[in-house]
Amino acid sequence: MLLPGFCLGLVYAAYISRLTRTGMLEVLSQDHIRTAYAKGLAPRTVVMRHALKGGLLPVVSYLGPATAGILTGSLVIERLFFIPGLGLHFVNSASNRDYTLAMGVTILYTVLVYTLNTVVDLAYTLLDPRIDLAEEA
Amino acid sequence: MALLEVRDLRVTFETHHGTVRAVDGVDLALEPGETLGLVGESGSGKSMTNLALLGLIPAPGRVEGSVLFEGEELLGRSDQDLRRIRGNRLAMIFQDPMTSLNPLLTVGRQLTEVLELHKGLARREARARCVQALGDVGIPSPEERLDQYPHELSGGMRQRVMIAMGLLCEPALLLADEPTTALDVTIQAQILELMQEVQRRHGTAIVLVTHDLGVVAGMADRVAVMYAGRLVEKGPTGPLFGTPLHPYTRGLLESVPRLEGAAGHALDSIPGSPPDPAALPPGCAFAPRCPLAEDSCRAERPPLVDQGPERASACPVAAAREEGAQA
Ligand SMILES: Nc1ncnc2c1ncn2[C@@H]1O[C@H](COP(=O)(O)OP(=O)(O)O)[C@@H](O)[C@H]1O
Ligand SMILES: [Mg+2]
Repeated sequence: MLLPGFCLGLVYAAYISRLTRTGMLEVLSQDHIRTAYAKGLAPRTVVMRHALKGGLLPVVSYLGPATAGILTGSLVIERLFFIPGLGLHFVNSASNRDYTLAMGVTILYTVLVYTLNTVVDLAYTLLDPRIDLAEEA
Repeated sequence: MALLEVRDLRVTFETHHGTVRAVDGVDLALEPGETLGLVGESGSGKSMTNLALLGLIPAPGRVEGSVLFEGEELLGRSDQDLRRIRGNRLAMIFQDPMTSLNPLLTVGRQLTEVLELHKGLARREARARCVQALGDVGIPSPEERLDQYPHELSGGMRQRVMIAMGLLCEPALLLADEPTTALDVTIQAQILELMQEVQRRHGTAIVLVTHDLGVVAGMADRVAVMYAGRLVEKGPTGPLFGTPLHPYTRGLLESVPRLEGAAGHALDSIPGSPPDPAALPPGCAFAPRCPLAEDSCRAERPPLVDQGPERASACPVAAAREEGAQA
């Protein structure tokens, strides 16, 4: 189970660590970080309290597309490693022309991606008070 | 004893284009409760001077010289030592209240952390003090403001929050870097008035950085004029504005709009623009724009020389003319 998980997640892990890095660098160069240092806060406090939240925002917004990507990726990975998962079922149902199963799994995937993206959007509003979903609608 | 004594302060950046002397040998002194106006065009090194006092010059900047604050040398001190002074005895407020507050933390959190850090107060006590501090700077219903985020406040309110933040620990010296530049004129006047009132109440000394001479005239006891990283003139506000000694100061004063000026009278602004700090001319940095410039000005950089009581100027040509006129 280790190798398939690794194959599936590695690309996303790499991308997320890059996002974290750029996000943090971006936040740390902002004016309010200078204010935080001018208050006498220690570098560790400045990073943890004043930078981390803002630096992770791009990561959080990437989690939505990332889960979608991982779900589709699992189709290929399960086939490659012969893991009897949902992805393999889906592929088999397609090649066996089992329309009912194919449709069912498609709907399941749709619901999953939809829900996860919504959860990410909601998490985003918790992190960033400037975003008001009700107002934008 | 002077509250602050800055001697031969230098801030340099090594860049691909050469060495940038952002601050190039600045001397300043400040008594407790006094206001010093630091003026000069943008890029003249005012912010770097202030940041150097706090030990907050961004990498790869290098700082040299001496900064005596309350009798202690600040340059070369460990970051740990400096952190005890920053925000406590020596506070700084910044130009743009929009970007200088953390958008993701409540106003209350950003205020209380200062008291938790320097005064060891518990969150609850700190909060009570902050309510009072916000009230003191004229913020209505401070209790509610504490739970709001910066974007929910107006520009003027945010700058009031900044000022309250700077004053929380009753610092001996407040460095105010263009505190009103980002605000519109009516709000500007309110903020300046507030700063004066706070100063009277707490006896805080202020270094007021601005490029707006009107602001300085109303606030400062003494003025230092900065050009290309150096002081070109300093003196008490009244005399300096009455009889400016350096042609750059004169130029600045002539470019201030006046109410009583004849209608249609064009403002004289100084021709040209400040020099590239990485490629300063060998002589007086102002010479290329100066109406009085002579060959001697371009050969060697004139030092700041005492002229009369408490006054100093770095223009020997203007000084010689003055003497010639009197003789
Ligand atoms: N990181 C840096 N590298 C090189 N030069 C810098 C850097 N930061 C600031 N400077 C230089 O320092 C000079 C003074 O800047 P500053 O103190 O912000 O001016 P002011 O506050 O008077 O407008 C500027 O001319 C700028 O070129
Ligand atoms: Mg500045």
